[in-house]
Amino acid sequence: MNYLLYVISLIAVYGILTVALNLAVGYTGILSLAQAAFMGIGAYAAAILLTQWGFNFFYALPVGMAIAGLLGAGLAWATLRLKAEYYVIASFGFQIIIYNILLNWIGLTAGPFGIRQIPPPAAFGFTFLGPLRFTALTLGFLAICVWVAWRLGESAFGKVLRAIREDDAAAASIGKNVSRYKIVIFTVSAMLASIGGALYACLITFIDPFTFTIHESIFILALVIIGGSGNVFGSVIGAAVLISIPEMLRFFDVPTTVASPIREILYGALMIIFLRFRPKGLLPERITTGVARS
Amino acid sequence: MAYWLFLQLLLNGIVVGSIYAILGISFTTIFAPTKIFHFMHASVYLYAGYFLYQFAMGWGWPLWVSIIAALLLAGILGVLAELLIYAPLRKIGAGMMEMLLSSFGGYVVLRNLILLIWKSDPRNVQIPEFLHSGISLGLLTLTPLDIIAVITSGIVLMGMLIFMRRTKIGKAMRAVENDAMGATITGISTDWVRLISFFIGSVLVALAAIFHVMDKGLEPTIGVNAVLVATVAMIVGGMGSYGGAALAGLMLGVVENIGIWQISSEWKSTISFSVLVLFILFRPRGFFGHRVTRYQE
Repeated sequence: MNYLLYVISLIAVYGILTVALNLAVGYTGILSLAQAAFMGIGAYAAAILLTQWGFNFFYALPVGMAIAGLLGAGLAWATLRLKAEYYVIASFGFQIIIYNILLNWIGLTAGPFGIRQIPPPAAFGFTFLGPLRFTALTLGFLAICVWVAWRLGESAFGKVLRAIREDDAAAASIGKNVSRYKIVIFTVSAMLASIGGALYACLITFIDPFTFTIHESIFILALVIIGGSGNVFGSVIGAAVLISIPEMLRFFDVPTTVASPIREILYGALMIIFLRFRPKGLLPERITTGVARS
Repeated sequence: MAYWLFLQLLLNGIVVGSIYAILGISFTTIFAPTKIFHFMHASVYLYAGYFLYQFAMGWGWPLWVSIIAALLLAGILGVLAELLIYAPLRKIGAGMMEMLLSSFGGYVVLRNLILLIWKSDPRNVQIPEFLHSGISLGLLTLTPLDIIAVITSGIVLMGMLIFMRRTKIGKAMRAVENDAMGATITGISTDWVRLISFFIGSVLVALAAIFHVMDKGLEPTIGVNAVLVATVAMIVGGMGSYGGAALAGLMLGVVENIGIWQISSEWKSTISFSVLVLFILFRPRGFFGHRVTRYQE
């Protein structure tokens, strides 16, 4: 039972990360390789503030979100005015830099040793201790993130994002400030990702830099694609499917040195197959005609 | 006075930079005609290293035979990536983003196959002792391997420049780079041109991998850094410019190594990315690139 709750929490955490990335990749067509970096910023901000500064989780969360949001806005401002290749490479580089900082700034992050014994979130005399309470918390955050993403993506704002994805010159020609929209959505995406990271740190209770590599970014991208880019609920479904299926490998007698490559080969292959045969993903994007309430 | 240390680092930087130059050229060779952001370049780089290891150490082939076999197999791997992954996507009218995402998928699959076949332990390829023994020039030292790397890099650059300007295939590649539709109309087979550029680009990246492996050994993490360097070199050099990519690669190597003088060596890739940031902010077209369009057409 506890194991099941753990898997549900993990799905909720990755659901948050995927929904966040979907706003950038699926709705706006910004291909970012830096999602794991923003996740790492959120996770480390929470871990450091909780273990060393004795912060309350709900005060640590905004700190991580602020750092991720500022860095995300800076990255977006510098690169999103250029062609697609530039921001792919810039986000790739950003990802490597954050990883290097987490790994090498030992005074702050303890480097390769990681941070252990991250306490469960506690607020105002109530501790989210125990799997049940923690799962409820992560599901609550997932619901908030889905709601935020839904309000952004399925509104008049979201229609402009889709217009930018299809043809940004045309969007600019009808008076939309393309750069501003891209910077806003990328910043929101980074901030939501840092929430996912903070919850991840509290769920696993141990973090090290090796979690937040480019491979994690690619994994989250795979979740977006397989779930359905441009559909908020698709992202949640994608996370649920791709997290739960490999977890079943545990019930077979497979050593972890073999199981984890097999898990990754599975999602890599699924990514190729989906892009080739069902690029819309499990839950396709819904395009509504007419103007939504703004 | 540590001026000789500075000179030694400069020299090391030139050696590393000439391998980076090959990386930059190899990425440009594929990116310019096909417009595919070929992230699987990282896998080709890794496989070239592991093929070399398998042939030379696993099966005991002579080194030069192993090198040639690894280069050819890496080239074939690049061609297979185009045939199995990119060509079917192009047929259904997929854009740059779908190609790149599939490329990530292919990279993940190939990288994890390495973990299953060769495990993740670091590997070394034995090379003749004299290649590693330093030649001293006053206080500075160089190894014969370093000299071979610099010379090879020069040959690669010269070869590519001549190939692209003088041969029929090279001209066809440039035509496809400028206007794939126009090239098709004049009777150039764009499919063949793409296959050839994948082959050449993959052989070149394998060359860089082989120098890296002979010098520093092999582990499954080196591929991503190679692609980061290759793409940064391409952007800083100016997209589509072979000379620019080579110059930028050389510069990256020198900047990284001189950076070590003051900053510790873990921050190497941070230094190369900072160079990229400066260029993106102030000169996005790079050294020799064309003007960067603000919006994608």
